[in-house]
Amino acid sequence: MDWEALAGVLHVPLDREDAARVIAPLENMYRKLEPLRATVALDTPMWTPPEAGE
Amino acid sequence: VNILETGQALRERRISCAELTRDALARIERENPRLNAFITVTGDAALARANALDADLARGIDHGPLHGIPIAHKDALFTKGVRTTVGSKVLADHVPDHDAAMVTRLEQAGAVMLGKLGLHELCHGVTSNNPHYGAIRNPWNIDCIPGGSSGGSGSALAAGLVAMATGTDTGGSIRIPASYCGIVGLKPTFGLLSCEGVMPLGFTLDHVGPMARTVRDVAVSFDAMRGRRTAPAKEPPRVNGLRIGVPENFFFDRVDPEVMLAVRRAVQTLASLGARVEEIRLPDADALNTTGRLIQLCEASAVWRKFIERRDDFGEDVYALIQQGMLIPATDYVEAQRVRHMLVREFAKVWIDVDCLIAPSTPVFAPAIGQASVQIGEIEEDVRIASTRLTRPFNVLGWPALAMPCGFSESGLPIGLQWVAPPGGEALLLSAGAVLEDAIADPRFLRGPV
Repeated sequence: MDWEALAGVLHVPLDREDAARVIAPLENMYRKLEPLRATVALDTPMWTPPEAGE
Repeated sequence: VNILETGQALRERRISCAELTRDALARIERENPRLNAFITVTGDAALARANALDADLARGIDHGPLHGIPIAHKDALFTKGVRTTVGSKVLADHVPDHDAAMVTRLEQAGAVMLGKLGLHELCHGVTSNNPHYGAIRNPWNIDCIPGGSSGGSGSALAAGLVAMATGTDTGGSIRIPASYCGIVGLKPTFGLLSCEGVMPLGFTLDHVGPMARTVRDVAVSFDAMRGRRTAPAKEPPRVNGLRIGVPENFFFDRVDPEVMLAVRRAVQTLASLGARVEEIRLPDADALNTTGRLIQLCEASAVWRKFIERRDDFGEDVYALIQQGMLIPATDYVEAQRVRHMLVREFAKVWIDVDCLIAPSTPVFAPAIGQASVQIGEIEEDVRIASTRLTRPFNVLGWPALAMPCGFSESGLPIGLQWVAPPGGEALLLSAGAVLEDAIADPRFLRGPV
């Protein structure tokens, strides 16, 4: 993902010094996320809370 | 400092609410300059309230086990007329016009609020090294962090400044300070205690819960937060036949040897008391962490993006997290919530074989203030990632988790473990935790650091 371009489109302030702090952890997270996405079935719903609330 | 014994002393008129409050305020005056646990102290209001509670007791009005007990709230819970900063500069002058639901509940239970406790900025971190209000310090070693984000709660409890404190937990923010400060904290089942009036961080991950010095004090406080009075136990708690699962993967994979030893020793103690300990293999807990982090980043940024132009008013670490959350597409957020649904179903199968789980709360004991990474074996890990690695999975699952101390490192810092149960399993956690607390019976945890 071109994070810097995306930041421009979304008006997220992101200067050069931010790259290590902002982009590197995102890249790392997405690397772990990719294989998980592949396991989601077509009819998988979103999470809902456990039924133990008041 | 034990809530039940203090309550008994109050009812037998051996001490008054006003005396208790004055003592606590004097301790805060003495210790807070060193620890920086409090952001705001409400001494005059606390004394007025204590006097009113003494008058109530004299007239036979008893509000319950927390009657006259000095407590404090994390500065993320709204308090009517008392500023609530959330540890931020952008809300430095924010004075709510209403109380959080849990503030009201604890007031109805007779507690005396002494003030507001410091935290990691926006609850969005674990060090409580706050750039606007200063670093909060760990009473066991003031060069160490108390953990976070409920760092002021952990620090104030360990130092005996209050008998009970509230905390919030989105990725471990009750259990991490409990672990680093040698106190007890309960993250209840998601949704069980209302987060109304708590500054949100992650709407589908946020929990509010009690923190105290002992498991029984947490149990009494939890009852009060649910709007219930603690009934006297009919028989002592037991663990006979309790099926305790000890994860053979992930939760002990990358843990400091001293933490490993202390937790294993606690498990052995429980086995010797009749618990059935079983090694179990869990699904992918790392996947829970990845999913949870993405969800938290998005939800937190939705709350705080309105201040994005005020870069200089945020700490560098927190600002970077807000930037990250704003860059994640909504479609990825939705997909993460679907992955979460799938993972919860997979993990829930564990409850076929065991009644509860035990794991370390954190893989290490309290790091030093300013320390960016911890070394565990061959691997160097970011303090933030290491501190939340074992706690965040249970925010994503929404299961209740009780963190309690189980030993000390050679350097004299507390070591913590967490019990985990299926949704609604708080009673089991508090009962089993009390058994372990009695068995460990280390006076240092009740006495605190000298």
